[in-house]
Amino acid sequence: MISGEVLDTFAASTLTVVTMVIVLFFLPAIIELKKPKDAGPRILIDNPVKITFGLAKIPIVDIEETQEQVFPFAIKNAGYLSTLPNMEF
Amino acid sequence: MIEWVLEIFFIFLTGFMMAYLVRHYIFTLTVLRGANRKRKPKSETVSFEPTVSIIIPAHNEEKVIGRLLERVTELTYPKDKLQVLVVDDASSDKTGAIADDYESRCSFIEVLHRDKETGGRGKSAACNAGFNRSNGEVILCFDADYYPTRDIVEKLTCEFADPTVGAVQGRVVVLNEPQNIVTRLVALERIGGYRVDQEARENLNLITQYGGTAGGFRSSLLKSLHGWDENILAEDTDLTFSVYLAGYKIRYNLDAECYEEAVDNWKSYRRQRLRWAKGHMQCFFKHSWNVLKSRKLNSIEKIDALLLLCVYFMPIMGFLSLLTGLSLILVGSNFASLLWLFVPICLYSFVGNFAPFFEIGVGTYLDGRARTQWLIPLLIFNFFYNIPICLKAFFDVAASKILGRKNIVWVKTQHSGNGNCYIKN
Repeated sequence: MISGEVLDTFAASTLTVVTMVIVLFFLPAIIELKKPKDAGPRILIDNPVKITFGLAKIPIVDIEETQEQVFPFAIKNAGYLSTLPNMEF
Repeated sequence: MIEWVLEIFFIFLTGFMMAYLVRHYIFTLTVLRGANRKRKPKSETVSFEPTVSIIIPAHNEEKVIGRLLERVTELTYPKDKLQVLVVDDASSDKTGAIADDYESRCSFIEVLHRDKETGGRGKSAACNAGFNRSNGEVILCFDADYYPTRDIVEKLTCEFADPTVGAVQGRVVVLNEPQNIVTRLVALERIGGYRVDQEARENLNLITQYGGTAGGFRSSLLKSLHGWDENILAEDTDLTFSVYLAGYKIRYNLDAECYEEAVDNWKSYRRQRLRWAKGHMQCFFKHSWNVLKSRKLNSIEKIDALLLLCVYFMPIMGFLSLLTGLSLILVGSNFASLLWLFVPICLYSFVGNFAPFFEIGVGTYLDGRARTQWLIPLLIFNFFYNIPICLKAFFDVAASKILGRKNIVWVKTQHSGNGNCYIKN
Protein backbone atom coordinates (compact mmCIF):
# COMPACT_ATOMS: atom_id res chain seq x y z
CA MET A 1 0.00 0.00 0.00
CA ILE A 2 1.50 3.29 -1.09
CA SER A 3 1.39 5.98 1.55
CA GLY A 4 -0.20 9.34 1.00
CA GLU A 5 3.10 11.13 1.44
CA VAL A 6 4.73 9.15 -1.35
CA LEU A 7 1.78 9.87 -3.64
CA ASP A 8 1.97 13.59 -2.87
CA THR A 9 5.69 13.63 -3.58
CA PHE A 10 5.16 11.73 -6.84
CA ALA A 11 2.42 14.13 -7.93
CA ALA A 12 4.52 17.19 -7.08
CA SER A 13 7.55 15.77 -8.94
CA THR A 14 5.46 14.94 -11.98
CA LEU A 15 3.94 18.39 -12.00
CA THR A 16 7.38 19.98 -11.78
CA VAL A 17 8.76 17.87 -14.60
CA VAL A 18 5.75 18.55 -16.84
CA THR A 19 5.99 22.29 -16.13
CA MET A 20 9.67 22.30 -16.98
CA VAL A 21 9.08 20.39 -20.20
CA ILE A 22 6.37 22.85 -21.25
CA VAL A 23 8.56 25.83 -20.44
CA LEU A 24 11.52 24.37 -22.34
CA PHE A 25 9.22 23.52 -25.26
CA PHE A 26 8.08 27.11 -25.57
CA LEU A 27 11.29 28.81 -24.44
CA PRO A 28 12.74 29.34 -27.97
CA ALA A 29 9.45 30.90 -29.07
CA ILE A 30 9.40 33.19 -26.04
CA ILE A 31 12.98 34.28 -26.74
CA GLU A 32 12.20 35.01 -30.39
CA LEU A 33 9.08 37.00 -29.48
CA LYS A 34 10.95 39.05 -26.86
CA LYS A 35 13.99 39.65 -29.01
CA PRO A 36 13.03 39.04 -32.61
CA LYS A 37 15.97 38.50 -34.91
CA ASP A 38 14.09 37.50 -38.00
CA ALA A 39 13.59 40.68 -40.06
CA GLY A 40 10.38 39.46 -41.68
CA PRO A 41 9.72 37.97 -45.07
CA ARG A 42 12.67 37.72 -47.42
CA ILE A 43 12.83 40.53 -49.88
CA LEU A 44 10.57 39.79 -52.79
CA ILE A 45 9.89 43.25 -54.08
CA ASP A 46 12.38 44.24 -56.75
CA ASN A 47 13.38 47.90 -56.89
CA PRO A 48 10.40 49.41 -55.10
CA VAL A 49 10.19 53.14 -55.62
CA LYS A 50 9.49 56.13 -53.43
CA ILE A 51 6.07 57.37 -54.34
CA THR A 52 3.11 58.94 -52.71
CA PHE A 53 -0.42 58.08 -53.60
CA GLY A 54 -2.74 60.93 -54.45
CA LEU A 55 -5.86 60.50 -52.40
CA ALA A 56 -4.56 57.66 -50.28
CA LYS A 57 -1.34 59.51 -49.27
CA ILE A 58 0.63 56.39 -48.49
CA PRO A 59 4.39 56.80 -48.97
CA ILE A 60 6.32 53.72 -50.04
CA VAL A 61 10.08 53.45 -49.87
CA ASP A 62 12.75 50.97 -50.74
CA ILE A 63 12.86 48.13 -48.23
CA GLU A 64 16.53 47.53 -49.00
CA GLU A 65 17.36 51.14 -48.04
CA THR A 66 15.36 50.86 -44.82
CA GLN A 67 17.14 47.68 -43.81
CA GLU A 68 20.52 49.22 -44.52
CA GLN A 69 19.71 52.15 -42.25
CA VAL A 70 18.60 49.80 -39.48
CA PHE A 71 21.49 47.35 -39.71
CA PRO A 72 24.52 49.34 -40.89
CA PHE A 73 26.91 47.42 -38.65
CA ALA A 74 25.70 44.09 -40.02
CA ILE A 75 25.95 45.21 -43.62
CA LYS A 76 29.47 46.63 -43.21
CA ASN A 77 30.78 43.64 -41.31
CA ALA A 78 28.95 40.99 -43.30
CA GLY A 79 32.23 39.61 -44.50
CA TYR A 80 33.48 38.97 -40.97
CA LEU A 81 30.12 37.67 -39.81
CA SER A 82 29.86 35.18 -42.65
CA THR A 83 32.91 33.30 -41.36
CA LEU A 84 31.23 32.56 -38.04
CA PRO A 85 29.32 29.25 -37.65
CA ASN A 86 25.55 29.35 -37.49
CA MET A 87 24.74 29.43 -33.77
CA GLU A 88 21.01 28.99 -34.25
CA PHE A 89 21.06 25.19 -34.27
CA MET B 1 -21.67 -3.09 -27.39
CA ILE B 2 -20.69 0.52 -26.58
CA GLU B 3 -17.07 -0.53 -26.23
CA TRP B 4 -17.19 -2.22 -29.63
CA VAL B 5 -18.69 0.87 -31.31
CA LEU B 6 -16.13 3.15 -29.68
CA GLU B 7 -13.28 0.90 -30.79
CA ILE B 8 -14.46 0.86 -34.42
CA PHE B 9 -14.90 4.62 -34.37
CA PHE B 10 -11.46 5.09 -32.83
CA ILE B 11 -9.83 2.92 -35.52
CA PHE B 12 -11.61 4.91 -38.22
CA LEU B 13 -10.47 8.25 -36.77
CA THR B 14 -6.91 7.06 -36.30
CA GLY B 15 -6.78 5.71 -39.85
CA PHE B 16 -8.14 8.98 -41.15
CA MET B 17 -5.48 10.98 -39.35
CA MET B 18 -2.76 8.55 -40.40
CA ALA B 19 -3.70 9.27 -44.00
CA TYR B 20 -2.96 12.96 -43.41
CA LEU B 21 0.23 12.07 -41.58
CA VAL B 22 1.48 10.06 -44.57
CA ARG B 23 0.30 12.72 -47.03
CA HIS B 24 2.17 15.53 -45.27
CA TYR B 25 5.33 13.46 -44.88
CA ILE B 26 5.27 12.65 -48.61
CA PHE B 27 4.75 16.33 -49.43
CA THR B 28 7.62 17.43 -47.22
CA LEU B 29 10.05 14.84 -48.57
CA THR B 30 9.07 15.63 -52.16
CA VAL B 31 9.82 19.31 -51.73
CA LEU B 32 13.08 18.62 -49.88
CA ARG B 33 14.22 16.28 -52.64
CA GLY B 34 13.47 18.83 -55.32
CA ALA B 35 14.89 21.82 -53.45
CA ASN B 36 18.41 21.48 -54.79
CA ARG B 37 17.30 21.40 -58.39
CA LYS B 38 18.13 24.70 -60.05
CA ARG B 39 15.37 25.59 -62.39
CA LYS B 40 14.79 28.49 -64.65
CA PRO B 41 11.51 30.34 -64.10
CA LYS B 42 9.05 29.15 -66.72
CA SER B 43 8.34 32.71 -67.86
CA GLU B 44 11.92 32.90 -69.13
CA THR B 45 11.60 29.78 -71.27
CA VAL B 46 7.98 30.02 -72.40
CA SER B 47 6.78 32.98 -74.41
CA PHE B 48 3.03 33.40 -74.19
CA GLU B 49 1.34 36.79 -73.95
CA PRO B 50 -2.43 36.56 -74.05
CA THR B 51 -4.73 39.45 -73.25
CA VAL B 52 -5.25 39.59 -69.50
CA SER B 53 -8.04 41.01 -67.38
CA ILE B 54 -7.19 41.60 -63.71
CA ILE B 55 -10.25 41.74 -61.45
CA ILE B 56 -9.84 43.53 -58.12
CA PRO B 57 -12.96 43.22 -55.92
CA ALA B 58 -12.93 45.91 -53.23
CA HIS B 59 -15.37 46.71 -50.44
CA ASN B 60 -14.24 49.52 -48.10
CA GLU B 61 -10.55 49.09 -48.89
CA GLU B 62 -9.46 52.75 -48.88
CA LYS B 63 -6.42 51.93 -46.72
CA VAL B 64 -4.93 49.45 -49.16
CA ILE B 65 -6.47 49.84 -52.63
CA GLY B 66 -4.21 52.73 -53.61
CA ARG B 67 -1.11 50.68 -52.85
CA LEU B 68 -2.26 47.90 -55.18
CA LEU B 69 -3.36 50.20 -57.98
CA GLU B 70 -0.06 52.06 -57.90
CA ARG B 71 1.68 48.70 -58.12
CA VAL B 72 -0.55 47.74 -61.05
CA THR B 73 0.76 50.76 -62.98
CA GLU B 74 4.27 49.34 -62.47
CA LEU B 75 3.51 45.89 -63.86
CA THR B 76 5.87 44.94 -66.66
CA TYR B 77 3.22 43.16 -68.74
CA PRO B 78 2.39 45.08 -71.96
CA LYS B 79 -0.32 47.57 -71.05
CA ASP B 80 -2.01 47.19 -74.43
CA LYS B 81 -2.79 43.59 -73.47
CA LEU B 82 -3.86 44.42 -69.93
CA GLN B 83 -7.28 45.35 -68.59
CA VAL B 84 -7.64 46.09 -64.87
CA LEU B 85 -11.18 46.03 -63.51
CA VAL B 86 -11.68 47.45 -60.04
CA VAL B 87 -15.06 46.46 -58.65
CA ASP B 88 -16.02 49.08 -56.07
CA ASP B 89 -18.51 46.85 -54.29
CA ALA B 90 -20.89 49.19 -52.44
CA SER B 91 -18.05 50.87 -50.55
CA SER B 92 -18.96 53.60 -48.10
CA ASP B 93 -15.42 55.00 -47.81
CA LYS B 94 -12.98 56.51 -50.35
CA THR B 95 -12.34 53.24 -52.21
CA GLY B 96 -14.35 54.38 -55.22
CA ALA B 97 -12.74 57.81 -55.31
CA ILE B 98 -9.22 56.39 -55.15
CA ALA B 99 -10.03 53.92 -57.93
CA ASP B 100 -11.59 56.69 -60.05
CA ASP B 101 -8.41 58.72 -59.67
CA TYR B 102 -6.38 55.88 -61.18
CA GLU B 103 -8.96 55.31 -63.89
CA SER B 104 -8.62 58.92 -64.98
CA ARG B 105 -4.83 58.58 -65.23
CA CYS B 106 -4.50 55.09 -66.71
CA SER B 107 -6.33 53.97 -69.81
CA PHE B 108 -6.12 50.26 -68.93
CA ILE B 109 -7.79 50.69 -65.53
CA GLU B 110 -11.61 50.60 -65.38
CA VAL B 111 -13.80 50.99 -62.33
CA LEU B 112 -17.15 49.35 -61.89
CA HIS B 113 -19.22 50.95 -59.13
CA ARG B 114 -21.90 48.88 -57.45
CA ASP B 115 -24.37 50.45 -55.06
CA LYS B 116 -25.96 48.92 -51.98
CA GLU B 117 -28.79 47.43 -54.01
CA THR B 118 -26.69 45.63 -56.59
CA GLY B 119 -23.51 45.12 -54.54
CA GLY B 120 -22.23 44.21 -51.08
CA ARG B 121 -23.13 40.55 -51.54
CA GLY B 122 -19.65 39.16 -51.14
CA LYS B 123 -16.51 38.60 -53.14
CA SER B 124 -17.99 36.04 -55.55
CA ALA B 125 -20.72 38.40 -56.71
CA ALA B 126 -18.18 41.21 -57.14
CA CYS B 127 -15.88 38.95 -59.16
CA ASN B 128 -18.77 37.90 -61.39
CA ALA B 129 -19.62 41.53 -62.02
CA GLY B 130 -16.01 42.17 -63.03
CA PHE B 131 -15.89 39.03 -65.16
CA ASN B 132 -18.95 40.15 -67.12
CA ARG B 133 -17.04 43.29 -68.12
CA SER B 134 -13.78 41.53 -68.88
CA ASN B 135 -12.38 40.92 -72.35
CA GLY B 136 -9.11 39.11 -71.62
CA GLU B 137 -8.23 35.56 -72.58
CA VAL B 138 -6.88 35.09 -69.08
CA ILE B 139 -8.63 36.34 -65.94
CA LEU B 140 -6.49 37.09 -62.89
CA CYS B 141 -7.77 38.06 -59.45
CA PHE B 142 -6.09 40.11 -56.76
CA ASP B 143 -7.55 41.02 -53.40
CA ALA B 144 -7.29 44.71 -52.60
CA ASP B 145 -4.73 44.18 -49.84
CA TYR B 146 -2.28 42.38 -52.09
CA TYR B 147 1.04 43.71 -53.39
CA PRO B 148 2.44 41.66 -56.27
CA THR B 149 5.88 41.54 -57.86
CA ARG B 150 6.17 43.55 -61.07
CA ASP B 151 6.45 40.54 -63.33
CA ILE B 152 3.74 38.43 -61.71
CA VAL B 153 1.43 38.60 -64.73
CA GLU B 154 4.03 37.08 -67.06
CA LYS B 155 4.79 34.36 -64.54
CA LEU B 156 1.15 33.45 -64.10
CA THR B 157 0.05 33.64 -67.73
CA CYS B 158 2.95 31.60 -69.14
CA GLU B 159 1.36 28.51 -67.54
CA PHE B 160 -1.58 28.82 -69.92
CA ALA B 161 0.64 28.01 -72.89
CA ASP B 162 -0.27 24.42 -71.96
CA PRO B 163 -3.83 23.92 -73.23
CA THR B 164 -4.61 21.46 -70.42
CA VAL B 165 -4.10 24.17 -67.81
CA GLY B 166 -7.32 25.80 -66.71
CA ALA B 167 -6.10 27.87 -63.77
CA VAL B 168 -2.95 29.06 -62.09
CA GLN B 169 -1.93 30.05 -58.58
CA GLY B 170 1.01 32.10 -57.36
CA ARG B 171 2.76 32.14 -54.00
CA VAL B 172 1.41 34.32 -51.20
CA VAL B 173 3.78 35.83 -48.64
CA VAL B 174 2.67 37.77 -45.57
CA LEU B 175 3.69 41.43 -45.80
CA ASN B 176 3.04 42.52 -42.21
CA GLU B 177 4.66 39.45 -40.66
CA PRO B 178 6.69 41.27 -37.96
CA GLN B 179 3.65 43.17 -36.67
CA ASN B 180 2.61 40.90 -33.78
CA ILE B 181 2.30 37.27 -32.72
CA VAL B 182 -0.85 36.71 -34.79
CA THR B 183 0.75 37.87 -38.03
CA ARG B 184 3.89 35.86 -37.31
CA LEU B 185 1.92 32.66 -36.76
CA VAL B 186 -0.23 33.27 -39.84
CA ALA B 187 2.98 33.82 -41.82
CA LEU B 188 4.24 30.44 -40.63
CA GLU B 189 1.04 28.79 -41.81
CA ARG B 190 1.46 30.49 -45.19
CA ILE B 191 5.04 29.32 -45.50
CA GLY B 192 4.03 25.73 -44.86
CA GLY B 193 1.05 25.96 -47.15
CA TYR B 194 2.67 27.66 -50.14
CA ARG B 195 6.35 26.77 -49.91
CA VAL B 196 5.74 23.08 -49.19
CA ASP B 197 2.12 21.94 -49.52
CA GLN B 198 1.23 23.61 -52.82
CA GLU B 199 4.70 23.00 -54.27
CA ALA B 200 4.49 19.30 -53.44
CA ARG B 201 1.05 18.95 -55.01
CA GLU B 202 2.35 20.69 -58.11
CA ASN B 203 5.39 18.40 -58.31
CA LEU B 204 3.32 15.27 -57.70
CA ASN B 205 0.56 16.31 -60.16
CA LEU B 206 -2.06 16.19 -57.45
CA ILE B 207 -4.84 18.67 -56.72
CA THR B 208 -3.20 22.07 -56.70
CA GLN B 209 -5.46 24.60 -55.08
CA TYR B 210 -6.51 27.97 -56.44
CA GLY B 211 -6.21 30.28 -53.46
CA GLY B 212 -8.75 32.96 -54.43
CA THR B 213 -6.17 35.63 -55.16
CA ALA B 214 -2.77 36.00 -56.86
CA GLY B 215 -4.04 33.51 -59.42
CA GLY B 216 -6.40 33.20 -62.34
CA PHE B 217 -8.27 31.24 -64.97
CA ARG B 218 -8.62 30.67 -68.65
CA SER B 219 -11.55 32.95 -69.53
CA SER B 220 -13.27 30.42 -71.76
CA LEU B 221 -13.18 27.81 -69.00
CA LEU B 222 -14.48 30.25 -66.41
CA LYS B 223 -17.34 31.12 -68.73
CA SER B 224 -18.25 27.44 -69.14
CA LEU B 225 -18.21 27.09 -65.34
CA HIS B 226 -20.56 30.11 -65.07
CA GLY B 227 -18.05 32.12 -63.05
CA TRP B 228 -18.00 32.17 -59.26
CA ASP B 229 -20.70 30.37 -57.24
CA GLU B 230 -22.24 33.12 -55.10
CA ASN B 231 -23.69 30.57 -52.66
CA ILE B 232 -20.30 29.23 -51.57
CA LEU B 233 -18.15 31.06 -49.03
CA ALA B 234 -14.93 29.40 -50.24
CA GLU B 235 -15.25 30.33 -53.89
CA ASP B 236 -11.59 29.47 -54.48
CA THR B 237 -11.95 25.87 -53.32
CA ASP B 238 -15.18 25.53 -55.27
CA LEU B 239 -13.53 26.67 -58.48
CA THR B 240 -10.52 24.45 -57.80
CA PHE B 241 -12.69 21.36 -57.92
CA SER B 242 -14.82 22.66 -60.78
CA VAL B 243 -11.67 23.11 -62.87
CA TYR B 244 -10.40 19.59 -62.17
CA LEU B 245 -13.81 18.01 -62.69
CA ALA B 246 -13.98 19.78 -66.06
CA GLY B 247 -10.80 17.93 -67.06
CA TYR B 248 -8.31 20.78 -66.66
CA LYS B 249 -5.32 21.22 -64.37
CA ILE B 250 -4.25 23.98 -62.01
CA ARG B 251 -0.61 24.96 -62.03
CA TYR B 252 1.20 26.46 -59.06
CA ASN B 253 4.06 28.82 -59.86
CA LEU B 254 6.34 29.26 -56.84
CA ASP B 255 8.15 32.14 -58.54
CA ALA B 256 4.97 34.21 -59.02
CA GLU B 257 5.01 35.90 -55.63
CA CYS B 258 2.62 38.34 -54.04
CA TYR B 259 2.52 39.99 -50.62
CA GLU B 260 -0.68 39.96 -48.58
CA GLU B 261 -1.76 41.73 -45.43
CA ALA B 262 -2.51 39.04 -42.84
CA VAL B 263 -5.08 39.41 -40.08
CA ASP B 264 -3.50 41.03 -37.04
CA ASN B 265 -5.82 40.08 -34.19
CA TRP B 266 -7.46 36.90 -32.97
CA LYS B 267 -11.01 38.14 -33.61
CA SER B 268 -10.28 38.71 -37.30
CA TYR B 269 -8.42 35.41 -37.42
CA ARG B 270 -11.47 33.62 -36.04
CA ARG B 271 -13.85 35.30 -38.50
CA GLN B 272 -11.62 34.56 -41.45
CA ARG B 273 -11.05 30.92 -40.53
CA LEU B 274 -14.74 30.45 -39.77
CA ARG B 275 -15.55 31.65 -43.28
CA TRP B 276 -12.89 29.40 -44.77
CA ALA B 277 -14.05 26.40 -42.74
CA LYS B 278 -17.72 26.89 -43.66
CA GLY B 279 -16.88 27.41 -47.32
CA HIS B 280 -14.65 24.36 -47.41
CA MET B 281 -17.32 22.22 -45.81
CA GLN B 282 -19.85 23.53 -48.33
CA CYS B 283 -17.45 22.40 -51.05
CA PHE B 284 -17.21 18.98 -49.43
CA PHE B 285 -20.97 18.52 -49.69
CA LYS B 286 -21.02 19.93 -53.22
CA HIS B 287 -18.07 18.11 -54.78
CA SER B 288 -17.17 14.94 -52.87
CA TRP B 289 -19.59 12.68 -54.74
CA ASN B 290 -18.62 14.24 -58.07
CA VAL B 291 -14.96 13.59 -57.27
CA LEU B 292 -15.65 9.95 -56.45
CA LYS B 293 -17.48 9.26 -59.70
CA SER B 294 -15.38 11.51 -61.96
CA ARG B 295 -13.68 9.84 -64.93
CA LYS B 296 -11.37 12.80 -65.39
CA LEU B 297 -9.43 12.14 -62.17
CA ASN B 298 -7.23 9.12 -61.52
CA SER B 299 -7.31 7.22 -58.21
CA ILE B 300 -4.46 9.14 -56.61
CA GLU B 301 -6.01 12.47 -57.58
CA LYS B 302 -9.33 11.34 -56.12
CA ILE B 303 -7.71 10.40 -52.82
CA ASP B 304 -5.88 13.72 -52.64
CA ALA B 305 -9.02 15.61 -53.62
CA LEU B 306 -11.06 13.96 -50.86
CA LEU B 307 -8.34 14.61 -48.29
CA LEU B 308 -8.26 18.25 -49.38
CA LEU B 309 -12.04 18.50 -49.10
CA CYS B 310 -11.94 17.05 -45.58
CA VAL B 311 -9.10 19.19 -44.27
CA TYR B 312 -11.35 21.43 -42.16
CA PHE B 313 -12.91 18.38 -40.54
CA MET B 314 -9.50 17.39 -39.17
CA PRO B 315 -9.54 19.53 -36.00
CA ILE B 316 -12.96 18.04 -35.24
CA MET B 317 -11.64 14.53 -35.91
CA GLY B 318 -8.66 15.10 -33.63
CA PHE B 319 -10.94 16.35 -30.87
CA LEU B 320 -13.30 13.39 -31.31
CA SER B 321 -10.42 10.92 -31.24
CA LEU B 322 -9.23 12.35 -27.95
CA LEU B 323 -12.75 12.05 -26.50
CA THR B 324 -13.14 8.54 -27.89
CA GLY B 325 -9.79 7.42 -26.52
CA LEU B 326 -10.65 8.84 -23.13
CA SER B 327 -13.99 7.04 -23.20
CA LEU B 328 -12.28 3.75 -24.09
CA ILE B 329 -9.98 4.11 -21.10
CA LEU B 330 -12.91 4.88 -18.82
CA VAL B 331 -14.85 1.80 -19.98
CA GLY B 332 -11.70 -0.30 -19.39
CA SER B 333 -11.02 -1.33 -22.96
CA ASN B 334 -7.77 -3.24 -23.49
CA PHE B 335 -7.75 -2.04 -27.09
CA ALA B 336 -7.19 1.54 -26.00
CA SER B 337 -3.96 0.77 -24.24
CA LEU B 338 -2.42 -0.31 -27.57
CA LEU B 339 -3.85 2.26 -29.97
CA TRP B 340 -3.83 5.21 -27.57
CA LEU B 341 -0.24 5.87 -28.64
CA PHE B 342 -1.45 6.73 -32.12
CA VAL B 343 -3.56 9.61 -30.90
CA PRO B 344 -0.75 11.84 -29.66
CA ILE B 345 1.40 10.86 -32.65
CA CYS B 346 -1.29 11.73 -35.18
CA LEU B 347 -2.31 14.82 -33.25
CA TYR B 348 1.25 16.05 -33.29
CA SER B 349 1.78 15.24 -36.92
CA PHE B 350 -1.24 16.90 -38.45
CA VAL B 351 -1.73 19.71 -35.96
CA GLY B 352 -1.86 23.05 -37.69
CA ASN B 353 -4.66 22.01 -39.98
CA PHE B 354 -3.29 23.89 -42.98
CA ALA B 355 0.36 23.10 -42.59
CA PRO B 356 1.67 20.67 -40.06
CA PHE B 357 4.71 21.42 -38.04
CA PHE B 358 7.25 19.62 -40.18
CA GLU B 359 5.94 21.18 -43.39
CA ILE B 360 6.38 24.61 -41.82
CA GLY B 361 9.80 23.71 -40.47
CA VAL B 362 11.00 22.61 -43.89
CA GLY B 363 9.37 25.61 -45.55
CA THR B 364 11.16 28.07 -43.28
CA TYR B 365 14.42 26.17 -43.79
CA LEU B 366 14.07 26.35 -47.57
CA ASP B 367 13.28 30.06 -47.31
CA GLY B 368 16.43 30.60 -45.25
CA ARG B 369 14.40 31.69 -42.20
CA ALA B 370 15.84 29.37 -39.57
CA ARG B 371 15.15 31.72 -36.66
CA THR B 372 11.43 31.77 -37.46
CA GLN B 373 11.30 28.04 -36.73
CA TRP B 374 11.59 28.90 -33.04
CA LEU B 375 7.95 30.04 -33.16
CA ILE B 376 6.60 26.73 -34.49
CA PRO B 377 5.65 25.31 -31.03
CA LEU B 378 3.20 28.22 -30.66
CA LEU B 379 1.17 26.83 -33.55
CA ILE B 380 -0.28 24.30 -31.15
CA PHE B 381 -2.44 27.17 -29.85
CA ASN B 382 -3.66 27.78 -33.40
CA PHE B 383 -4.63 24.13 -33.60
CA PHE B 384 -6.66 24.23 -30.39
CA TYR B 385 -8.17 27.57 -31.41
CA ASN B 386 -9.28 26.02 -34.70
CA ILE B 387 -11.20 23.21 -32.99
CA PRO B 388 -14.14 25.36 -31.81
CA ILE B 389 -13.98 27.34 -35.07
CA CYS B 390 -14.34 24.20 -37.19
CA LEU B 391 -16.98 22.79 -34.83
CA LYS B 392 -19.08 25.95 -35.20
CA ALA B 393 -18.58 25.91 -38.97
CA PHE B 394 -19.74 22.31 -39.12
CA PHE B 395 -22.89 22.97 -37.09
CA ASP B 396 -23.69 26.08 -39.14
CA VAL B 397 -23.30 24.26 -42.44
CA ALA B 398 -25.17 21.18 -41.22
CA ALA B 399 -28.04 23.35 -39.94
CA SER B 400 -28.30 25.23 -43.23
CA LYS B 401 -28.31 21.91 -45.12
CA ILE B 402 -31.01 20.42 -42.90
CA LEU B 403 -33.15 23.55 -42.91
CA GLY B 404 -32.54 24.17 -46.60
CA ARG B 405 -31.18 27.68 -46.04
CA LYS B 406 -29.07 29.28 -48.73
CA ASN B 407 -28.49 32.69 -47.19
CA ILE B 408 -24.80 33.35 -47.30
CA VAL B 409 -23.39 36.09 -45.09
CA TRP B 410 -19.98 37.17 -46.25
CA VAL B 411 -17.97 38.48 -43.28
CA LYS B 412 -15.25 40.61 -44.82
CA THR B 413 -11.71 40.64 -43.44
CA GLN B 414 -10.88 44.18 -42.37
CA HIS B 415 -7.62 45.55 -43.72
CA SER B 416 -5.98 48.27 -41.71
CA GLY B 417 -3.14 49.10 -44.07
CA ASN B 418 -0.66 48.11 -41.35
CA GLY B 419 1.35 46.31 -44.01
CA ASN B 420 2.27 49.70 -45.49
CA CYS B 421 4.74 50.38 -42.69
CA TYR B 422 6.87 47.48 -43.91
CA ILE B 423 7.30 49.16 -47.25
CA LYS B 424 7.23 52.76 -46.12
CA ASN B 425 9.55 55.06 -44.19
